Amino acid sequence: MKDFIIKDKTVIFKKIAIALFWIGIWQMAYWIIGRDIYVPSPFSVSVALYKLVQAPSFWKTVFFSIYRVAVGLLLSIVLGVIFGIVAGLHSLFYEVMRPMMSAIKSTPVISFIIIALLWFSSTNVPIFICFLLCFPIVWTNIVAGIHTVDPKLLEMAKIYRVEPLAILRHIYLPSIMPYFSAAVLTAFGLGWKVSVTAEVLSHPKNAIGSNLHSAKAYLDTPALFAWTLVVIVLSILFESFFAIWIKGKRRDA
Amino acid sequence: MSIQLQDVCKAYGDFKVLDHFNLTIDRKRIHCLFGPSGCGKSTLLTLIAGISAPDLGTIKGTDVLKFSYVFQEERLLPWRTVKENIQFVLQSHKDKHSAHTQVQRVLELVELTQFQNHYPNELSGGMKQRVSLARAFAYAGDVLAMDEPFKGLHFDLKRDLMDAIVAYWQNYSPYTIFITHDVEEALYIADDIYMLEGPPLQIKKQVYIPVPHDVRKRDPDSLLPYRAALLARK
Ligand SMILES: Nc1ncnc2c1ncn2[C@@H]1O[C@H](COP(=O)(O)OP(=O)(O)O)[C@@H](O)[C@H]1O
Ligand SMILES: [Mg+2]
Repeated sequence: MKDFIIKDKTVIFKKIAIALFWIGIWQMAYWIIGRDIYVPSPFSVSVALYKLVQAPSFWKTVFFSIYRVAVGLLLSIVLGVIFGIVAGLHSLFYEVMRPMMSAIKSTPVISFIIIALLWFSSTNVPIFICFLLCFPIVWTNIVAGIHTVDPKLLEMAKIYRVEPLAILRHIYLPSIMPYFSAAVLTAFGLGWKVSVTAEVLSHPKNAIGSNLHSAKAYLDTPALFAWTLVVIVLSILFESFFAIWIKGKRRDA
Repeated sequence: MSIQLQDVCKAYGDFKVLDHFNLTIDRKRIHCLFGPSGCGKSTLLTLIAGISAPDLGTIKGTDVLKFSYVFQEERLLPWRTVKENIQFVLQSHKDKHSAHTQVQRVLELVELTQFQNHYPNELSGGMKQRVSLARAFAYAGDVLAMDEPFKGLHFDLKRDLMDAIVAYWQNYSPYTIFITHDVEEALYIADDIYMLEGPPLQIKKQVYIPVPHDVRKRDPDSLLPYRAALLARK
């Protein structure tokens, strides 16, 4: 127990030291360049961040940006799992869907955003973009997970006449789970990035992206950095919550 | 009642493993498929169990049967414990309590009670093989089909398991078929040994052992003539 605490402490100490090292590099870059408009100092960014958080509109902005990412991610996960299972089990569906997924993956995000600006109202553009970019990731991973299911285990279950639902629960799900969690973690990171990008261009009311856009317009670089930090923190929080949830799931199973 | 194979053919591409093969199996004897590795024994057993379909020919009498199948590999769910692996084939049991008793009974039989909460990767090859056997026992199929069920097991345990199979067969009289290339295993429990060669699979010789199982145990010499028959070349 004592060992554990000591170990924990050194880990935390190490992390703090690494964070300080990079902040130091940032500070040095600021000194060398010497202009706030290109690289603001860690201090001025902290001040900007503090001011942001104080503003009453901050939490509303954050809330709506989270809402857009969450809806986009949820759609991509639900549909990605459903279509992934279908494609994983039927090679024809797979053959039909694969070109579309490859096309989505290699198309520049900006093309989709411009199209989406024509199709959707400003608040729905980020949702659509987040969904569109994350959907192929979830789909691909679910298909890969289903393809790793051991046919020998399925054969065993069939000869022992195990019901389809139990086969799904005890053979398919455990095989797919690692692929599913990898997909979701990747989607969380990507989802935030593309959703905020879409917000910058569609500028809906109450959006982190819209604030980034106006920070750029007013050449308010510290605010730009501060909002960017907010996105990073939110993205990390999303990933951590999911990682904790999946760990609990694994313990239950 | 019997299982009948008539003119069964099976090929992998152009490679004929079974070519107009015939066989009849009943419940009155323990049947042994005895032959060198690669001659087509596993293929034959999967055909009987309906795991794969013949290219030609008919297999009669298997439609209504439930199979307790011991595969050549253990085929355990890696993410489930020993106990859960056995429960897995008892899903349809409505009565949870009787399923639990059944699991405990077969675990005792294969001497794995202490390991019931272990995962397959924590077990040796022989132990996994015993789980696979326990699963087959627990399911209590109409057919006990076993593909090299005793490989990787040391002698004492092998003997206990063979006794258990004989007892199980005497009590419930399932169709019992097992594959081996071990003379001692064949002599100890089989009543009817098909000496096979191939591919394509052929019955080279059939050896009946009319000696009751308890006599084989008491008086190993009673098996001498049959051992000679099994070991004879050609
Ligand atoms: N899925 C398969 N594809 C191609 N050849 C196979 C396949 N399964 C078995 N064989 C071949 O068929 C022959 C018989 O195999 P098998 O029935 O496993 O033999 P045994 O169980 O007697 O060792 C072997 O020569 C093997 O290489
Ligand atoms: Mg074999």
